Amino acid sequence: MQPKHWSPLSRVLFIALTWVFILLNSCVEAVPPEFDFQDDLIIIDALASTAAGTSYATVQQTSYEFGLYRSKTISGCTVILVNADTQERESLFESEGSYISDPSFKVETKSRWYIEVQLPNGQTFKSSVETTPEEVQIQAIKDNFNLEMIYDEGSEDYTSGHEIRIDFNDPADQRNFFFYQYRAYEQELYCKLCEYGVYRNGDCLSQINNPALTKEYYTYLCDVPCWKISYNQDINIFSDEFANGKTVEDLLVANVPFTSNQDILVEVLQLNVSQDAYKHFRTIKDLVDNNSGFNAPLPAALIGNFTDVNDPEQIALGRFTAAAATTETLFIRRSLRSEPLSGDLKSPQPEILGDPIPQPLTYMAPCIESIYRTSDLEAERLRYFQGTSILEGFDPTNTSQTP
Amino acid sequence: MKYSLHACFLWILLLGGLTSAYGQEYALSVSVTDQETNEPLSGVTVYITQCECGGITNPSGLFVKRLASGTYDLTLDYLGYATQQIKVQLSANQTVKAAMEVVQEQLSEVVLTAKKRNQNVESPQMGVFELSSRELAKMPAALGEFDVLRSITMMAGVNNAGDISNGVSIRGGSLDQNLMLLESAPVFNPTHLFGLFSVFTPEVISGVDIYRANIPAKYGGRIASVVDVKITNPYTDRFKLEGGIGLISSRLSLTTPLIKDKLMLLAGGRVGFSDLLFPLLVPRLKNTRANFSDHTIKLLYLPSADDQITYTNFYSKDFYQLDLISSIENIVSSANQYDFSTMNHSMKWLHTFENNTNLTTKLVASDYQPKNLFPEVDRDNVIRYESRIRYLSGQIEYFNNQTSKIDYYVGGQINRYLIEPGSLDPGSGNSINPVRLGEETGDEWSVYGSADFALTPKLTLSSGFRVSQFNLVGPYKEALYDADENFVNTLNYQAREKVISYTYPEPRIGLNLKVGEQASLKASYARMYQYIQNIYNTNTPLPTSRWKISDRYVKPQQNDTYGFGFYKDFDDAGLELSAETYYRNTSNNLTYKPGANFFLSRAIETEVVQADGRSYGLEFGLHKKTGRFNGFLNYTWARSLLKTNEAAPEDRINNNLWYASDFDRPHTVNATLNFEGDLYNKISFNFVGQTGRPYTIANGVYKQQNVTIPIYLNRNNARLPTYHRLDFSWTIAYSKDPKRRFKGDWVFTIYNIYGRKNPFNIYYAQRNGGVDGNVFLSSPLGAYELTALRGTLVSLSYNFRFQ
Repeated sequence: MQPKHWSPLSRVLFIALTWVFILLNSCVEAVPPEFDFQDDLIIIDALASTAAGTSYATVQQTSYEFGLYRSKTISGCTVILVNADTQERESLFESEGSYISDPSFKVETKSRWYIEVQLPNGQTFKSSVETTPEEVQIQAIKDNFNLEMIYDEGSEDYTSGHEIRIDFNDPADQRNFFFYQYRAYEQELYCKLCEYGVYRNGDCLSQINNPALTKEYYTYLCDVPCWKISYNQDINIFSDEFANGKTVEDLLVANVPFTSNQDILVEVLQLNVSQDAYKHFRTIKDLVDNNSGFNAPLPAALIGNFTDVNDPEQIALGRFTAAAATTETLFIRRSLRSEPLSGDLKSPQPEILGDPIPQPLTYMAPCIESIYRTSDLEAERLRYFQGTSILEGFDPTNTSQTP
Repeated sequence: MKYSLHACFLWILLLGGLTSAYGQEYALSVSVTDQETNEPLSGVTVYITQCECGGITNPSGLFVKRLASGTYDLTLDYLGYATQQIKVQLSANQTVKAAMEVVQEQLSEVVLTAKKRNQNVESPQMGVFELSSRELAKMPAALGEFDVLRSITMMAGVNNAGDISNGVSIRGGSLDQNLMLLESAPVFNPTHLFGLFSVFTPEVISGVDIYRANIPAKYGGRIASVVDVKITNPYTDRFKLEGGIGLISSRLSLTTPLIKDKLMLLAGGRVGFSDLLFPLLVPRLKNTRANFSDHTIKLLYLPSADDQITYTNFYSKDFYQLDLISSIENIVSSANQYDFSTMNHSMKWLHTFENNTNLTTKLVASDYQPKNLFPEVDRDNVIRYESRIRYLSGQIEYFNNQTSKIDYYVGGQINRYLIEPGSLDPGSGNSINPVRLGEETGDEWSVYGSADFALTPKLTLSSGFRVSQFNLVGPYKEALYDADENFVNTLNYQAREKVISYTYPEPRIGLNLKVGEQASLKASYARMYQYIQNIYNTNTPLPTSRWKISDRYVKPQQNDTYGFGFYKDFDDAGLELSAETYYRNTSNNLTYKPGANFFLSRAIETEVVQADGRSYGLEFGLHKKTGRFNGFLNYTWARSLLKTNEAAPEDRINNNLWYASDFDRPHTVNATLNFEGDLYNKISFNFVGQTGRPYTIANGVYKQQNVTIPIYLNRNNARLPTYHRLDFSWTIAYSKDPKRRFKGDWVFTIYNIYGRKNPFNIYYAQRNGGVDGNVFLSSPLGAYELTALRGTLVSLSYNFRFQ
């Protein structure tokens, strides 16, 4: 290459020029998830709570069946909460994949409890003893709409939503550790959505081989007033390690994504837990929420406080926690918001005359009870929706009506 | 301790005996000057053919060697000067004067020094790399700047945590197991931009020495390696200016005499402003701010012909703002501001005695202050997390190479570590309580000596010995635990009261057996101890990651390295061939317990586990130093494993079985090819290929309400895809006239030519409806691959020099 000649002026300039052409794609890309899957790991997640009827346990076992990685509920277990001081025993009953207490059962603050879980094969796990902390009341609850609430790697965009924040006075005479959960109720838009199929005889009947079908999906309204129940998808915790005795203000305890314009009732559950339980939930938070950056904490085993009574080397994963529970409720009028929704909302698409599908045309599907859906919303919760468009002309005591 | 000290003193006496045992010799002095300026030239390599020995001229341009009477052929080499051959008849003490002629544009920038030419075969030192700034500059780098840490990852046995790494791993060791020195002062955080660039001001670096095997006895305190970055001695009679301006950073350095022949100055600096770049690159980083700067100032004072005093000041400063990535509970802040700085001072006095032995005295101070700032939302208040490491050191060393038979040095060093582990200042806010963890003070005393001598004409021994004593002293609060590791009480120690003391001998031995004229076999052994460590549970440490000196619970790390190698030079072809194998046996390596949280932890000993480690490997190297085509090719097969010995099942890592450490890379291939076709064009290629980094994948999943939680039982049970990339660099010098005062060159670089997507990490995510369903299929969790630099980086830079 022929060298370039420069003017005298340029020679005394101590300026260098740099052009940088950076051809970068996104920094994050979806890849097929890999697992080093181990069958038959036992995971016990159990809570003894000061709120009546909220104590529960789940007993799960990892399994790999038909090409699916999952954890399945072990039914037929004997699950007993035991008061370590009085030896009072409270059996939990199996219900819809969980073991739940009698609706009136609750533990007292400062009482000491452990749990025994006997599997159908006789293997028995026992937790360490947990002391129930004292309750700490929530002083205020509020919401704040945030267009950039959570960054979603899949869509490479922000998810909008309502950030739920609370205030409370942290007691100065004790260390406190909190774990937050929420349960939100909104009207279910469709009780069934069939992709490349139609709803017939209680299930989606595939039409994938129907060459005349032009619609990708059909939606079916609920045949009774039906309520969708959603839960937190992230982990929210708080330790007063640096704020003991302070007034805690605007603590973020829940992120409710703005996925529909339905008004929503959010119940925040504040669980005051032990320091060990807090460490356990913090580890889960690191595994679930804090694992994506360049400086993400490295994965850690979730070994809690269960051991096999016959073989101390055998451990069940998960944890038993005794917690002092307080709840606070917030009703959010999302129907008044005009911002675009987050997520992939399917617009209504009922069957219509002329569609090349099996007859008779179907418009509704039943509201099947589960932890994610109910038609039997308690009046105490239902009253929040009074006066909203959802219940106009609708008698909440008559659940056979369609709103 | 007594036994060790006695052994050391006996050994030093033995050295003196060996020195005086040899027969009548005469001092051959070589005084070298620049032919044009008549000024003494420092750093000229003098090679003596008959004894196959040599050395480098001191700042006064003098080189002295004691030799038996006889005829000797001297070769004088120096970068930018024509090589000189001199024949000397030595029968009495004699001084030879040589004036070297300037050669402006040498075709090959790789200038071999006499000692270096044969070092591969002659020296009993193993596992050493010596890279000059010229060699560093030839390696293609991202964004047109050469970078010390990135360049040394091209060497065998050196790798890092990925494209973003806050340091390097050498022979499978962790990042903090390398003693990173800049003019003898330790650098605790060696990178800008969380690991994208190293902090060392490029223009002022004269070279980097890396020791990984029988580390010389003068060094201690870290167990894997020593990376010694050296600053150019500003021995000059003329003004010189170098620099460049770029999108990421701008650089400027000057060298000038302040008092002719007495006082000279070198000052170099760099600033980087990347605020505009991040939003352009990644929308998610739109709130990111990243500014950094560094400078190095070196003063050289020559009070007499026998004395040289240098003072070096190094300052590095970073300020970043990121969306909140680490939060403190009850602080309502939307951003993290990282503000960290390093301020190092190094003073060195080299006195040369009449018999040409010399005494070096060093005083060093290092001050590293990382801060994490949390500006409160809707309030005019900033909450500050701060920590600090202050390091003070004094060292004195006597060096003697009077005879042709033996070189030796003896010395002593005192280091003090003052660590402020962390404090939290709520400022004017009332949301949190102030926190201040107690200071840690540690003193490290060392005496050392080393001698290189020929046992037989074929067999050379490098024998080194170091004894170190580390004392943790008060004021200090020590937690006491019962047998079940339950906290019992706190013990308070007064100022200077000894908490615990460790004393260890550290032998360093190297043997060289020549097999033929141009080949040798070497064996080495070294033991080292480490009393300070960086604690983190991430892939690469944050600048604010906690440092901890050894105490009763966190024991000093220990390393025994065994090495064996074969070296062969092919002088005609300018080739060096090496094959080294090593085995490192380490103990008390620090790793984190499941669920550990180190932030302002008052009982950090309960959050860490100390593991045994073993690393072993084979390193093959082929280095062609001369000719139009030059470069190197390295292949390494290596393993790096860890094993805990914990009783409690919940504290065990991988159930106390051996597992791959984060730096386990079984196969690594590095190659650099330079083509120096004519005076104006130099073309280089780099290739890096290595087995992917170990990472951890889940052993199962379970659901807690609506959250799917991955279950991990084993650590590092999978590997990221193989890392590889090819880089290209084309340097175009446009100046035809070698006497032009202003010179410049264009550097065109392509980093990662074929745009390989090398993942930094792969992590799980909750399924979000049907998003990426065609990739995740029926998996209960999604997975995303995080890549630091995805794609090709192309840059065109113009760098200049004015003198």
